[in-house]
Amino acid sequence: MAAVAQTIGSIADVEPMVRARDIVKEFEAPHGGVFRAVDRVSFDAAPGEFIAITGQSGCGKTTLLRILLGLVPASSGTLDVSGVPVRGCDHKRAMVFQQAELLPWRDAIGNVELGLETKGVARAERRRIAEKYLALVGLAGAEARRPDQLSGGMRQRVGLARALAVEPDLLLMDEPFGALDAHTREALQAELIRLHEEMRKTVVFVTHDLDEAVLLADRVIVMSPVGRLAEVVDIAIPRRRSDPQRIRTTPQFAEKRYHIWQTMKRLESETRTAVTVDA
Amino acid sequence: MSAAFVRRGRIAAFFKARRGLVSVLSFVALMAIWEIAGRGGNPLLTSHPSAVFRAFEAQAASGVLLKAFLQSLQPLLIGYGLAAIAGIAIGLLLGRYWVAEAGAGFYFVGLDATPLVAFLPVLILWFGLHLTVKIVIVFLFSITPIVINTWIGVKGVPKTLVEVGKSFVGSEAFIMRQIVLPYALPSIIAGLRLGIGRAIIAMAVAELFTAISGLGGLLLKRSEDYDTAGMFVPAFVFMAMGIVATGLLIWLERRIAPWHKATSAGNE
Repeated sequence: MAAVAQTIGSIADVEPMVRARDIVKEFEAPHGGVFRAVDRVSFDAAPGEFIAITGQSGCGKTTLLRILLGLVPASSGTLDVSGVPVRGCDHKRAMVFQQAELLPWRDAIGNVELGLETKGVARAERRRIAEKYLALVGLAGAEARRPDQLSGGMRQRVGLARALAVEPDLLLMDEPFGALDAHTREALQAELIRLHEEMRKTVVFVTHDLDEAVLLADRVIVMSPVGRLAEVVDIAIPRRRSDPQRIRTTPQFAEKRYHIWQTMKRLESETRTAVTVDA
Repeated sequence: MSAAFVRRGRIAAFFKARRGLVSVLSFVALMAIWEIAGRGGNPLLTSHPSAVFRAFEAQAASGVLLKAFLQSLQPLLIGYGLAAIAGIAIGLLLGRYWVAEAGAGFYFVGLDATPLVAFLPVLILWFGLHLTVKIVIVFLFSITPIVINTWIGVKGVPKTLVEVGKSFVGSEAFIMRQIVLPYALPSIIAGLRLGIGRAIIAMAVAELFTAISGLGGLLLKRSEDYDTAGMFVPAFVFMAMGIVATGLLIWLERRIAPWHKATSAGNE
């Protein structure tokens, strides 16, 4: 009974914001049998921590994020966020989606108000909060623009403001910069670092971009191609990362990136061997 | 910035004017050809625009045209209005809930292909010869394209947008109202456009085969009198009603779904 699953990389004496234990997600395979997308994943995230999850396409990282959000239930395992078990979606967690996923008929501020409406915030208050968060992501003055009048980077900023506006404990981000051009992506990464320094929100950020993972995160979770947590890498590059371009040039950055890259290569070849043996 | 917008407005106005010009030229050319070709013909067998216009003046002056028009408008507006309300509601349910789709979808596909004219005698037995049966006929003719287009529109709502609604804790009603309905709106309006043509045909059919009345009745009487030019007058009114109603729906779509025009290619 007293056997507690090994806590991976938890920070001592702090109640974790996220406590995930043996999360499993299975889907019915098209031709019978089950396919295990997420396989016994356990991790903690401390309040204010920035966690990146990386791995190949199909390693279950997005599925894991959807479980954290409450959009899909885990097949087994326990998941607590701020000490409360996750059952479905609530306003304690908010997601920034891969393609922004704004409502095309609403202007920027209307999109930011979406979560505030379901939260039951009064109209005037909604407007005030939405204005504040639009300004925070650098879009003051773009309130009345519809998504088709915004660039890809601006749309993603609106998506971020929409998530932040409900003031969640946990911010989930699903490859939010993956579809942007390099220049816009770097600008948004810098912006996200600044916001995280200011707000100290707990963030779980899924990306397949190793540079992005090392640049943004306190810790990087590397998933194996079969949905297992393979390694948790402490980045430990000091805070005040005000100039991301500068950090990219540091030896620590290169070292961490190379380390994760090696891990992923190893996992890939192991999987390939396993498949060959199976066959 | 604002200068650019003003310029864009002018360019849009130019294109709009050019479109209008093309429509007018096309109409004038067709009328001219008809006038030249029809003038020499036997007035029993054929007609031409100037004769139709004289017949129009006569019918308008005697008040018979306005009376017929107003008589037709009643079953048309009531039948089509009910079809729009019920059709959109049914289409939303069919598109959103698989039980509704599996349980009732095929009825509407079937109804859409049913030659309703064959059922007129039965409808007359059930609903009589007057306003009620006409409303029912307009309703039955025009509801299926509205249902089917709404249904298709709802099926086209991206799963991810519905997930956005769920992730921000939107209730089913919230998702329906704020995400599904607006997304499906262009498709719903396309259904309403198809429905209006059907409704006008249904109105004429009802006026010919139930108690003879309205524009359909006028058309029938003139053709029985071999007043070919006079017969064209109500026929033109039918066409004009279809064009005006469609124009109103296009205007409505631009008003309530301006993003659709901005994001869809269409013709250029």
